Amino acid sequence: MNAMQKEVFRRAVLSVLDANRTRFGLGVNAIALTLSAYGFAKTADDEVADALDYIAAKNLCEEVTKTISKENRAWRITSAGIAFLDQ
Amino acid sequence: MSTPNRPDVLVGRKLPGHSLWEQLQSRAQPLALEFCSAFFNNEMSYAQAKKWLEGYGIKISKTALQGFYNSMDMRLRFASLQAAQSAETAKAELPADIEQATKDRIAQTMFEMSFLNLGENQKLQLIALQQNKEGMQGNFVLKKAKLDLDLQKFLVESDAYFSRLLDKAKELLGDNKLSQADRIAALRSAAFKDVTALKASGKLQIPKA
Repeated sequence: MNAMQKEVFRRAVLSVLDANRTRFGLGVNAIALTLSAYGFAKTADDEVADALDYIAAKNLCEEVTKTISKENRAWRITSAGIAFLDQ
Repeated sequence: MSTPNRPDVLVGRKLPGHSLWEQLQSRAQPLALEFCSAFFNNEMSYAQAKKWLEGYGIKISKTALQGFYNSMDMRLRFASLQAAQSAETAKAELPADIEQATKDRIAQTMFEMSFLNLGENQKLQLIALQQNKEGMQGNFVLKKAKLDLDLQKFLVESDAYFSRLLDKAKELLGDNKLSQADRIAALRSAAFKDVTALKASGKLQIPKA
């Protein structure tokens, strides 16, 4: 992926998180499957996890609860993430 | 990874139907759930929906209403609200002697499973609508099979996670009469009871190929 494709992909991941405004988070699996609604039909879980780590580092999303097991992690959008999409 | 075929969705924030969603949210969550449930499940025509919304002081054009109806983003928002409600209900029904952190993790898993299930249903409804417009019924079967397969894969993985959680719950509860399989079945039944009830009511119109 080039820089522009990464940007579009990360925005799509953020859009999936934005669609969930509840107190629960979404896991990598759930996000990867839902991404098809945003135009990304075949997405590897690793790509989603990388995008989430990047977005989280920018404080646009956060982990719901810290868990030891990698497969049990879940994320939700932060107010900064909502503001970012509003721009 | 495939190239996005809907770049319009990814650029900017002013998605179709967004203002209606904001207006519904500014009132009460049950109101948004009630409206979306009836509207997205084809129990309300555009005219009825417009009238219903006007009753709550929301004025909206037919074009905006169509945008809301055809927006996957809005349907996912609805699915997440439904899933959260379902997870909260199921969590409240868990035995009191399970520790709070375990309850939270079970509710979290239930939420994800419900979200995927409900979200996929909404996705299928939109695909069916699109296929009807384009007159390409055959393609719908393939898309449905692909979605079913993806969802099945997710549910199998979630079951494994569920199983580990239940081991923990069982450990806390000590000896229990229920087998693990029965507990999984009971928890899954609790997680999807809204969906089951909706299906049983006959109100849910799942598109057929």
